[in-house]
Amino acid sequence: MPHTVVLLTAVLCLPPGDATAPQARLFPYAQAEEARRLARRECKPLVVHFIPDTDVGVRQLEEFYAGPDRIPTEVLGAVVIVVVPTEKFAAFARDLGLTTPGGYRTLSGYDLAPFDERAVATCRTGFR
Amino acid sequence: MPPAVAGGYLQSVVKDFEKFAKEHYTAALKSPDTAPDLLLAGIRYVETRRVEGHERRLREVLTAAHKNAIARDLLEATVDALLATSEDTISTAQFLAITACSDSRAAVAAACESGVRRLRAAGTEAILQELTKPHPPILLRKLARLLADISKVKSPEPVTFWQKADEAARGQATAVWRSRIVEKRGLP
Repeated sequence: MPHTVVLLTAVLCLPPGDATAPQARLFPYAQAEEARRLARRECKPLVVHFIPDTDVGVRQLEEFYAGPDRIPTEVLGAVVIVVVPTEKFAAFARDLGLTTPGGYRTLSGYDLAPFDERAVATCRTGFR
Repeated sequence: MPPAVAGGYLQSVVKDFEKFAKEHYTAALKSPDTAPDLLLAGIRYVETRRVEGHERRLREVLTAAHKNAIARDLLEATVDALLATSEDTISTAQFLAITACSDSRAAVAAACESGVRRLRAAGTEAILQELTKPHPPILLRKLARLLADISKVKSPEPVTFWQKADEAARGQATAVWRSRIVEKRGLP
């Protein structure tokens, strides 16, 4: 099975968490536009989480967002995250200064065009 | 990168973003020449952080002409922000009801009507109060129709009554209408 499919499955199978706690907002790259709109709607930073499309990436997703030592829900609830396979968006990753197979980059919800193979951060206004 | 490091990065992002947004987004809302995207950011910031004191500017934004790709988002956001930060819900509802019934742009009218509906009892009371004021006849008729629609209680008088009746008669009719609405749904 391609790792991209595994990655998306991993993201979408995250536990829902406490109903009263801020909900983590994790989106696969195919739903980047939805993530962007949510970041705008809730006025939150949009974080692109680049991951290698390998077992390492899958493990990282599980550790960060689902494992026993995962990032606290209140932190995840304050941002909107789009998970992006680095190889698929290599040019985009380079544009954002990424030199490693994975990592975080933060944009404004106003600056990210909907993802396609030529996704670019326009960064016209606001936070980055 | 261990989760703790990632969490630390995200925490710093959130902190930086809040600082940036407080300074720049609020200022963007105040400025008359703000680009649409940044204006939307300002409105959403005020709404989501419940920053009071911007109602006058939000009203201006709502009734201004927006001809851009995010005009609908701006309308929706502005109504959300007005409702979230209102310090006087009746006054806000009155403004929204009057705009809903007088603005010739369908999108603006629809956004305002949606806001009145969401204010529920305050929206109903606001329209009842407006029906007693010396407004143009056509506006009074539209307000009566809007009230019947959102309250689901028929006007005690024919719609044309609201165009023709004087203030005293309208005052009596609204008292009857209010009591029927209270009977059915309740008021604050």
